[in-house]
Amino acid sequence: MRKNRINSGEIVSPGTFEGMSQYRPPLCFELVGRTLELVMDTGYDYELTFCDRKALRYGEKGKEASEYAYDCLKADDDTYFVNFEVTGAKPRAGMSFVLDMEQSLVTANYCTVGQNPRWPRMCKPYITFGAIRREDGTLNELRHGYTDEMVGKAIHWQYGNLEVVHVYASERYYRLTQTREGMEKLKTEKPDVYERLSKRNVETIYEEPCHMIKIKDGIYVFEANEEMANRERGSGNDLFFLMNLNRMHDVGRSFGYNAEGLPENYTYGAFGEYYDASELLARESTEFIR
Amino acid sequence: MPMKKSRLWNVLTADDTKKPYGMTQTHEIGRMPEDSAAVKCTDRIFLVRVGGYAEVLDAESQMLSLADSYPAVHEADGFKTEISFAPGVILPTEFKDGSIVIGEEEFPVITRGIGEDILLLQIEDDELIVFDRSRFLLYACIKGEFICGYVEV
Repeated sequence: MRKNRINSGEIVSPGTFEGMSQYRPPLCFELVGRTLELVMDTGYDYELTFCDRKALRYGEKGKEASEYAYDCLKADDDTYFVNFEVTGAKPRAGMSFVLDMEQSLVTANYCTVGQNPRWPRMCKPYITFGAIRREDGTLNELRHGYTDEMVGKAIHWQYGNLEVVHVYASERYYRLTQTREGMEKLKTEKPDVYERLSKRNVETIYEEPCHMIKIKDGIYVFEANEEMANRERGSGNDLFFLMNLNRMHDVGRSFGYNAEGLPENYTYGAFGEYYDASELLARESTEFIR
Repeated sequence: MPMKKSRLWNVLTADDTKKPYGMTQTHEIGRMPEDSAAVKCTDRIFLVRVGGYAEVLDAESQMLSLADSYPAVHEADGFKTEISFAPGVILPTEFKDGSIVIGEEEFPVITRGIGEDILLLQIEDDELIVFDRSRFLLYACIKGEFICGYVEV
């Protein structure tokens, strides 16, 4: 058992996990053995086969499929989040699916990196929608859709070794801040991080483009590409969240590069609490003409 | 007035004023009888509600067992931390020999170990908490209701 000593008491220490994946729930193996036909609005159909707990096969229907290592997480009893690195793809690519088995619908994010000559670590998400062919061969005509239901809300997300407040400022932009308590904690525990974050949202507002998609009541996709971070410090990832606001937690993935400059593509989970960010929401954007 | 389930429930939910973090049911262990449900806590451990009571399914042994069947351990005695099972309800917590103090309430507890990373906190016959010591995640079945939470890292 891992233990260390802090002050006079003996404490249990957590394991070490990548990035903000400390609170990631256990992986889900429920789809193992199943093949899904994804009929996408791009005009292409794909087959997704969950071979075992670690590998899936994915490819255009009728063509040769490739095998990839994947993670599957659940956000709801019948809503799955599936993520894998498209190994060998040039430019580098990651694929994420929200598989809504209740409504037989799919939202996909094919995200690439390395195509922007000025900011080579800028990710480029490509979100598409479609339907999962039902066992009787029929397709749902409805689609998951862009929504403004999150606009004006803010949620404090606790990832374990990271906590942030996502402020859903508009249908196309979100802002990032910390809680007052979180900042106080950083001041004593991580003064260097405190120093950096205390400058945020003072003269300029930290704001990034995003997509908000409604999957079903209380279940939303939130995709945020850290474009401004890329421009300012040369790195920033594409973050793809599947939020269950009925149960106040989310699962998702970060695609891009880690602090050491190495490729990263990992899944995570967090616990949420609504937060009053009315002061930040009331301020005008300093980054985008709106 | 909302129904108050138990002393533990009231502590974790600030007297039932905060909705706890909910759990997703698992379909991974096959079809469950009508009055049963299951949640996945780790790759190895599932909590199964049979009637109003929680039992533990160990995927390694494929056995459904009562918490009693696991050995009592004292490895976490003295561990002080903060836990949360509901948004905004962050509770100072201390593991003691034979009890756990959550917030201002002390509960008699038998702490049991499964493998290296799982602790079972058996509070009442129908109140069981799983502590995944690796990820610092908590899963509980309290009076038949599944909830989850976290331990401050």
